[in-house]
Parts: sequence; C-alpha cells; structure tokens
Amino acid sequence: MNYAGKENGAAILRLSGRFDFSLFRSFRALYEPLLDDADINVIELDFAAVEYLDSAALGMLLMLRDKGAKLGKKVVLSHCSSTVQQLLEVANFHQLFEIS
Amino acid sequence: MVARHRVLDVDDALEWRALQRGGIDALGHEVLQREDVSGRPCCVIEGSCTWHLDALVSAAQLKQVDVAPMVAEWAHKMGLSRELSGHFPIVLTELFVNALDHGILGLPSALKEREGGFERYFELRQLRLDELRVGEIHVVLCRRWIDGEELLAMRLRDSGRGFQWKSSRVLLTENSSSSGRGIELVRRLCRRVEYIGRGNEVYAEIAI
Repeated sequence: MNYAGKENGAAILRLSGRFDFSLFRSFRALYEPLLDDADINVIELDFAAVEYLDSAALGMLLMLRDKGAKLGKKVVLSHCSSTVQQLLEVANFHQLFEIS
Repeated sequence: MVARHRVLDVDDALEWRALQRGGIDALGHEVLQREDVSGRPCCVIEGSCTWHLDALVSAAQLKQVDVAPMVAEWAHKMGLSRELSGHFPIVLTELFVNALDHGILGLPSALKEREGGFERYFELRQLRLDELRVGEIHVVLCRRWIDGEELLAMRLRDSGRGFQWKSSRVLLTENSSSSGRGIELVRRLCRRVEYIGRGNEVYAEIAI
C-alpha cells in the first residue's frame, strides 16, 4: 500500500494483496494527509494488486468516503478485479462509489 | 440439517444474555446450561460429500492464527483453485472471524460503532487473544452436489456461549459502522445461512 502521487487534483493510493482490518492504521495514515490537502478533490484507490478484501475493509472504505464527502472530496475505486468488483456490487458499493 | 437444532430465535437471544449475567433469565429463572454451551465443539454435516474437511482449531492455534491464509489453504485442500473458489474464502473467513471475535473472545460488535471504536476493538481483540487459554473452533467443510448444482457447505461451531446476532438486517451501505457488516455480506453471498443453537454454531451453503 503506497501513495503514488497526485495529478490534476486527483491523488492515487495503490493498495495491494490483502486489504483487511490489519491495514486500518496504515490505510488511515496514508489517506489523512490527502484529506488535509486542499488541492486534492479526488482520492483514487487503485485496487489492481488487491487479491482479497473483507467486511472491515468495506467499513474502512465507507469511513474514508464519509470523511471525504464532508470536505468535498470524491473517492474512486479503480482497476478492481472481477471478484473484487462482484463483492463491491453485492455490498451495493456501486451506488456510493465510482468503480472501474 | 439435523432436526434437533433450530434457528436461534428471540428466546435464545434472551437466554444468551441471561447466561452472560450468570445463568438467570429475564424473568429471574435459572437457565439450564445445555450440553453444547460448555461441551467440546462437535459438529457434522450430514449426507455425502465429494470432498470433505474437518478441522479443530484450538486456543493455542487461535492465538496465532492468520485466518485468511488458513482459509485459502483449506480451499486448496477442498480441490478449489482460486478461480473455482469464488467468494467461498471471504465467506468462511468472515464466519471464522465472527466465531473467534464474538464467540471465543466475547468482543461486542457495537464497540466499533463508537468514535475511535475501530482501534479500541482491535486493541481489545489482541489483549483477549494474548490472555486466551481455553476455547476452540470446529470447522467442517463439505463439497457436494444438490439439484444439479455444486456447492460448498460449511459448518462452524465455537466453544463460546453464542453471540447476539441481529434478526434485523444491516444495510451494508448505511454508514461507517462495521457492526453486522460481515454477516450481512455472508448472507448476500450464500444461498443459505442459518444459526443453530444459541448462535455458537452456524451453517452456510455457497454455490461454486
């Protein structure tokens, strides 16, 4: 999991492997500076290397979305594998996030 | 399903709370502890299986277990490649973590709903894992065909006193609260999910 830089107001966080409760702290440490950055209006989470996510990860995504929304920042989930995409759809996350 | 078991209902939930308070129910009656409350976990899936796995995870193992890789190994042992296993690993992981967190460690899910609760929850989880001496989770997996469909049946039983599962459904998208999110996800991914006894045992079936 790392910060891959920002471009035109969009910051990219690359997630990898297992995205679950064990990443709660490191995930928050990565996104907090982005929430504080007034130049950023979109936070893109790149799921290309994510193999697995659990219900705690879904909670973490919602937490980030809520915090971002208060500051006028949008959260986008990109490069999801078909399994991850199915899971997000089962959880109705496509209604809350832009997923690609 | 074995006929003597039934899905946990409101009375069972009350009984569970009573047991937590020391064996007295809401009306002041002493609640008799059933065999399965204190007994060793022992569960079976009836009928024939093409693949079968039976695992008993003891306290010593639970203290160190990394659930997701363990479940991935089980999937492999059930002859399921990553492509074939679909959502089975996440379902079993969620059920196992529920059994461990709520059944064995007695962590209240509601803790996560409070401000800063997420962190507190995982601190408390680690604390209780470190202190854990007794407890085990029995997992039975069965790959079988029913009505021309291949499915994976799983049954988990923990040695805990059961947990207060909500009869009301949780909206996965409702808010940032994590309470009940895991089991709601499991319900949506599975074709059948049933709690048995007082909630220390669960049966689920997922199509593969």
